[in-house]
Amino acid sequence: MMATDQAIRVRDLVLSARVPVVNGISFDVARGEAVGIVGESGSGKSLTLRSIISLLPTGVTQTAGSITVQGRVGMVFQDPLTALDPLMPVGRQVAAASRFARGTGRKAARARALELFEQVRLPDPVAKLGAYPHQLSGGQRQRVVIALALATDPEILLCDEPTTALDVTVQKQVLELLGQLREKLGLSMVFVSHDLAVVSAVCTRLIVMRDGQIVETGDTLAVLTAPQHPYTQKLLGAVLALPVLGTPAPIPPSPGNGAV
Amino acid sequence: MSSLEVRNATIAYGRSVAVTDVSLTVPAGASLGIVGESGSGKTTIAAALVGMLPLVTGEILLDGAVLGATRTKAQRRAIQLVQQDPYSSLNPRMTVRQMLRELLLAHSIVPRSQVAARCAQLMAMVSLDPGSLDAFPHQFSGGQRQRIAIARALAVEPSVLVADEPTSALDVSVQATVIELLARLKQELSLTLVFISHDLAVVNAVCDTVAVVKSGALVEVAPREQFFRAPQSPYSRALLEAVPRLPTR
Repeated sequence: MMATDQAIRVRDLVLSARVPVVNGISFDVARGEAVGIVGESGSGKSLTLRSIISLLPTGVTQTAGSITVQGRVGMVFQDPLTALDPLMPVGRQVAAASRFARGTGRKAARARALELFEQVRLPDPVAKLGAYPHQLSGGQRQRVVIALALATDPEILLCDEPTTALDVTVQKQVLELLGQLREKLGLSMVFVSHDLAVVSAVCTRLIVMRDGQIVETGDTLAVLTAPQHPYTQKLLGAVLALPVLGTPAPIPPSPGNGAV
Repeated sequence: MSSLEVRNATIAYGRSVAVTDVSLTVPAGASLGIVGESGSGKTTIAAALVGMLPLVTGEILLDGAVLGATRTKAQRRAIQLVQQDPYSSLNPRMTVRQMLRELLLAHSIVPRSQVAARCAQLMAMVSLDPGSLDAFPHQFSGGQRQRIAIARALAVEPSVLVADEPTSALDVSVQATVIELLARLKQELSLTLVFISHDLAVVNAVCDTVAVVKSGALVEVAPREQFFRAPQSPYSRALLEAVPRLPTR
């Protein structure tokens, strides 16, 4: 039995593609908690996430362990260009997901799509309903993907590198949006990324994976400022630091002085 | 060592202008970072530098000499490009030896009898095992492939290396080793480096001058220290502020 304050419980999970690719991992996600899974390519972080919604790629199967989920799940994919149907207006895609989840009519679903577009703060949401993916910018497309995930009224939001394909300024906006949505809707969240700084912006707890195993887990701040496992230390050591940005000069530059 | 200069370059794809009136100077042996968001024109500038795209107006100078619309073989050799994605920039049907050999012979870098030795040398230069010269690209990891791409660029002994997002497709720990490699090679071979990236932290690690482009135009050019601590333009500041940073205790 699972405690009512838990959203996800994973026990001794083994995922195999001939050989084990995720090897006996266990973790919990509490209701309302945001957990980050970090690791490099091939660590098994994305497969772990996908196994939660039984969306494993062909050839990979769960061979042992259990996954228990309490609540509806939505997923935000990494690449909005492949997550969206290029031949269907984005409003219809979101409405279709909403109809499927709520069993409502077309009109109500369209209204819901508009509501979701407003919620993810797409500019000019009414016009965007009829837009095709290629007519949107990368950031706008990712907002549509988030709207699509929210269309099923999820209690748990799974995010697979949701900002990796985005520019840094857009990434910041999308991370802020995800944080606000989580708070407003009381979502539990599992956030997979290779970028420690991105994960630390969203998650309260971290799971560090390597070669299909969990090497370290703990409070985000603790893991990032006092890592225990040598691999976590190595990973953190490889992150390139930036100098501290000074505060802007008190006197703004005169016109024509700002650009070189 | 060579200096590189771009004067008032405007670059277009057919009728659509991608870069407008950009001027840049890279002294011999220096490293210039070009940063900007998607669609800002970074890669277009890189393509123009290596002669893959013609300029609509303006000129590019190598060691003070204007590079014409058709470059000489020596001029083409002098400026080499390392592309972003080592999964698509290497010919999947050629072994590393075949790739390097073709270049060494086409540009008469070494006599035929010394090609094998030179191939091995190039592999060692990028810290790869010369024993794997007869392997195909798919047999290497992403980081190894990027090393091969670097070896291929260096095979023709360029004086300027243009690296277009060379670490963006790589894991963070692999990225660190490729950056180290580039820094070492720049030193050892006295290369002038143009480093294009959307990743400000990588540029900070590699470059001594930073140029910011936005919508095809230059926004700011500044020495590294100044750029990262006190950027002059609001756009540069917005970029720097958007970079997620690790928490510190």
